[in-house]
Amino acid sequence: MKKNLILLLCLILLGCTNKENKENKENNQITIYTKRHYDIDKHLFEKFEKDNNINVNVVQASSDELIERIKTEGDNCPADVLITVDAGKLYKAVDEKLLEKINISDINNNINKNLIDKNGYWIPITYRSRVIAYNPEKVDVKDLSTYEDLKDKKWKNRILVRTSSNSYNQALLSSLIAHHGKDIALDWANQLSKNFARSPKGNDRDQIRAIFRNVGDIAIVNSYYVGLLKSSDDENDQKVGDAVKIFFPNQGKNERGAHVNISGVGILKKSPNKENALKLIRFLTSEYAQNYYTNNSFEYPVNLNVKPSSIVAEWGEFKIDKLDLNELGINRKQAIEVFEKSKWN
Amino acid sequence: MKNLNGISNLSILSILASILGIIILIPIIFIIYENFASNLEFKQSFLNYFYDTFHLILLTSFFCIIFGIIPAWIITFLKIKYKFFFDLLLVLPLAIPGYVMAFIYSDLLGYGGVIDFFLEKKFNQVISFDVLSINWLSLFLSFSLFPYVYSTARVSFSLIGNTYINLSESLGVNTMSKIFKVIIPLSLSAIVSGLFLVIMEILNEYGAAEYFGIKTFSVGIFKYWWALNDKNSSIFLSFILLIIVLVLIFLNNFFKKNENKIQYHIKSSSIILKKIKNPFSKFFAYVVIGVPIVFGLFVPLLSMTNNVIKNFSKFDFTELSNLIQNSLSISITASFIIVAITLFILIIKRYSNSNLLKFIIKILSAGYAIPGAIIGLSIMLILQQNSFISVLMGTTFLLIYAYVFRFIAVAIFTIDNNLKKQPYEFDKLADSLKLNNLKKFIKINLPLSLNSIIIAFLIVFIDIMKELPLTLILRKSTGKFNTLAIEAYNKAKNEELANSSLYSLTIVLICIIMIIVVNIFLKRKKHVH
Repeated sequence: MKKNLILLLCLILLGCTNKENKENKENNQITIYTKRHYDIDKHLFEKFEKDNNINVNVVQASSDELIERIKTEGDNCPADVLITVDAGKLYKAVDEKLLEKINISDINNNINKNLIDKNGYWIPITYRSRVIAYNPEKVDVKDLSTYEDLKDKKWKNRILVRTSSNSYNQALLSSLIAHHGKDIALDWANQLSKNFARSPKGNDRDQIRAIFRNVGDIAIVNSYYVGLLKSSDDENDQKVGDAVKIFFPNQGKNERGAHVNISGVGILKKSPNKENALKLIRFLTSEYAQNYYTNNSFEYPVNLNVKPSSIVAEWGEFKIDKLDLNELGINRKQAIEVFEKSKWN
Repeated sequence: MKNLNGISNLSILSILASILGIIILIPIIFIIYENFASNLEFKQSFLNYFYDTFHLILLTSFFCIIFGIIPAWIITFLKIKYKFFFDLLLVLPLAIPGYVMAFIYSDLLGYGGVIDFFLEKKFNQVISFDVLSINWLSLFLSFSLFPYVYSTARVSFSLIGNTYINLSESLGVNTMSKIFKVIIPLSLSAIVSGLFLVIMEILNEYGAAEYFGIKTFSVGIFKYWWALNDKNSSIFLSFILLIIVLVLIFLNNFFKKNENKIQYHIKSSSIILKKIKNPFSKFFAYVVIGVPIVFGLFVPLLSMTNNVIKNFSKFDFTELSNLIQNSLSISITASFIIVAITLFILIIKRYSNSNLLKFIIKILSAGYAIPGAIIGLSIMLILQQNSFISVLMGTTFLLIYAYVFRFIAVAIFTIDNNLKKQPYEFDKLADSLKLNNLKKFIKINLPLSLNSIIIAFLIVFIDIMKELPLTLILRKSTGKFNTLAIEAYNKAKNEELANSSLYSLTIVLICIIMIIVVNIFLKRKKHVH
């Protein structure tokens, strides 16, 4: 009896399974697998849903988990698009043969040329720079110059940064490997870790908070975190945000520019709703969405017709590293190996 | 005497139960198989994971013992006002997931946090410290884990009763040696099983450890898997973790065997409560009880409530009700299935006395200790082997299957403990009355197990409400399926602690209600006994 009951329950569940998969084949919907989980994205997806009368399903997880999930689901994968916050992960999805080429030149016309995928598999949505936040009372801005210079002894016990398993740090190191090779990158990571004010931990905001409390003088962080702190409803966060300044490294005449990374979207090969996927991409790169992104998440808009938010604009214009962003994926494995060998935990 | 027909029926059932057990065990079997199938090497860097994990375990256990055992001793043996409430309040921190506790405290105490600014304003001087360290994390985790030690110690202390204590007193033993020579040794197995649960939770800890930059096994498994793209090392780490867990289970069982010998002697009279005469000692006793309640319950609850009030206008309450529905429906369905399967397997074990089944049940108990993340990933890898079964990915069925694997141990612990106490004479009586197995179950064992079934259901329910990595990886890919735990964790991880508070507060409130219900059942159970 009990056995039958369990069997029955299993059958019912299997029944649900089939229904769930069928539901997804319906046309008027789109399934988004995304790493981004900000309220801003939720708002934009809701607007897209309303404007186009398309049902939006969102599965949010880390990029690696999503890629693994797409592989596991195989032919049954309901996802139409994959959104990540790192070009390296999009490269990984391309490498795993999960994405298909996107052929919409009219979109690319409006997008910053330096950020476009040369192979045509993904479209950038926003970009950010990994910058140096510093305490203006403790640091003479003239002492700041390049990422490479951070290994100098003058920064001993002054640098704050999160752990090496964080993908932002891995992307930065991938770019250093692309420019200088593995050996120089290893030496850089080792020398840099000698200058740490404390062992790497916490998130980017925690590094800025630690500057505020004089644990260290400079921190390697993503630009938008400073914006988020400055614009926070929380008075204490505002104080922390106001206490630091931003410096874009490698801006000298013969220098390559500051490291940037994108948040981007790709269409899955097995996407059941490709039309809707294209509509979504058009929407996310539209002036409306781009304005919304920069004014709320303080990332930089990729659409050339949209200006950065006032907080972002205050940091001034800067030269970006023109490295092909796919290099952030191509060199990822080496970057991880370098980190493993280095003293950066 | 069983007739021939009965035996064959039972053996079919026991084979079925064994198969069911083995199906549930597939993720473990897969890890062991993969471990031996691929060429694995022990890396020097693995040692860091050992070091950090054991550091965290030792220190958290230490704090849990302080916060758990001393209050349990005071509540059991001393005359205290409002005992009922204290008893309940000391269990409630269990409702707050470890990662929520860690995020809340690091936000309160960290650089630029509320306390930091408050102290600066008050004393016009910066008094701040780095809470993102392994020692602080141990303390924060212990705030939510000490109830495991408290409740097991409490039950054990009340079982000891006055017999031993009077005896030791009449032998002129002083208080200190009474505690260390009588009470602690007698309760050792109970305290160990409480600590066992604490350690299992720590081994499972991922979110908070990663944020604090601490290398626990779960963090390592993820790092090798995702960041380093080195599946073999990750499987190897999982395998090591599995062995550690099996050793712990063995140790726990070893202590339990000793407990059986002790209990045999206890025919205790009810406890005579001692009055505390010295007002200073009295005050001290209340402080000792109060500290874990304040830090484990009031501070996090106040902080979450404060965040919710501050951000009230920003919240989307239709979404909240949607999330509550999702969380409740998945937790209730899964808890029901887990309890049903547990009962089926345990009853068949009892009736058939099958050794294979006994062995399978022992291994099933390890499921609780295996980090949800490993289960999720090993399930994913299994599905990748075959496109036919990959249909299951992202279905409710698979998520529930994973929950069964992860939480069946909790149901087994609770229901099996109760079944063991049911005298076999009842079964024999039923056999002599020629009742078939089903009737025997319905008329005898089911009514006797009812309380433990309800308790198991509620505990599993609470665990699933709080569960994170499994739900995150295996949740449905269609429809708007998100749970409270996912939303709370995503927001907190995304550095939006204030926004995550509404969801974590909801989880905590639902779990608090459930814990109160469990406690009422436990009280009722005592009366029945």
